[in-house]
Amino acid sequence: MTETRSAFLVWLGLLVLLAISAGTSRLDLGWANPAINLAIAGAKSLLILIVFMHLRRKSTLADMAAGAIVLWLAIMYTLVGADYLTR
Amino acid sequence: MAPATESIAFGSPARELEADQFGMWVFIASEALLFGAVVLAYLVSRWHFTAAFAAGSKELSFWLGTVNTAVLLTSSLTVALAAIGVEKGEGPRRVRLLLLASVALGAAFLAIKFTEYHEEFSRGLVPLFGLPFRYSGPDIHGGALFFDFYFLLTGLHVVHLTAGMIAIGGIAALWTRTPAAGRRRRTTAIALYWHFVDIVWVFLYPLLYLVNR
Repeated sequence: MTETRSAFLVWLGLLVLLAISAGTSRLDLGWANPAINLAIAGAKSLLILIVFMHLRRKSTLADMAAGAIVLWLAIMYTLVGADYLTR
Repeated sequence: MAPATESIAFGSPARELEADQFGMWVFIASEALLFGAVVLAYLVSRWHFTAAFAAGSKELSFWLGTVNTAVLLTSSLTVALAAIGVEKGEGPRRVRLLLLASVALGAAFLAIKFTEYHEEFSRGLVPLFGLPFRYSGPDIHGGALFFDFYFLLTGLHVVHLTAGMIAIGGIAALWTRTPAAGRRRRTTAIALYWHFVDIVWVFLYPLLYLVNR
């Protein structure tokens, strides 16, 4: 599959995911609404990161920088969450 | 003699390209922590004012937000196609057109965003700069906090998007005077930045527009 074709397929996939999150947000699914929204935002980001930003393909340096983002955000969110969610 | 690099710091164009990409990734990491911190503050506030944030979110334009998400995702496609084109050594005119199309899509996003801002301003939903705040939701205090975060997060995103448009526009403007290796490095680096700004919006859209709709 050519790179151009996969770029168009990812774009279509992103629009389908957008339609799913917009569509499900019109239904009242209780706790599932934010869970679906978060899962779809995560899936969209992975598509963009892996295909458009070439993560896991080009260089170990880029993977390390992306890994550092996840690590530092995880530390910040875990520590703040541990405080606010257990008060 | 080895092929020319733009900076004397690098032994080969491949090393220079690698350094450029890594530099952009480090910059993106610092940007991700900036947005991550504000989003974390938003989440903590939403945890405290759940009903007020849901009511505030309903005041935003669901359709304009959704259309704008599609516009931005499409701009990521044109930037990605430009990066693919420049890597494959496709016609420079085509790549330049794709870059200009991305700037145009960015401008469309801004036009829609400012239409929303104008509507929110005329309805008195801007609790900033001492403007009249006429929100009549269930919890005025929590509602004001929601709109504070809405304008802070989308405003920060608008600033980043505008910077990206200026950078892409600049690359396109200097296109004919830039050697091929320079075009490639600039296009791939700015593409990374643009995709990152897109990812930020991918999270802002459900966080701001889809709170318990």
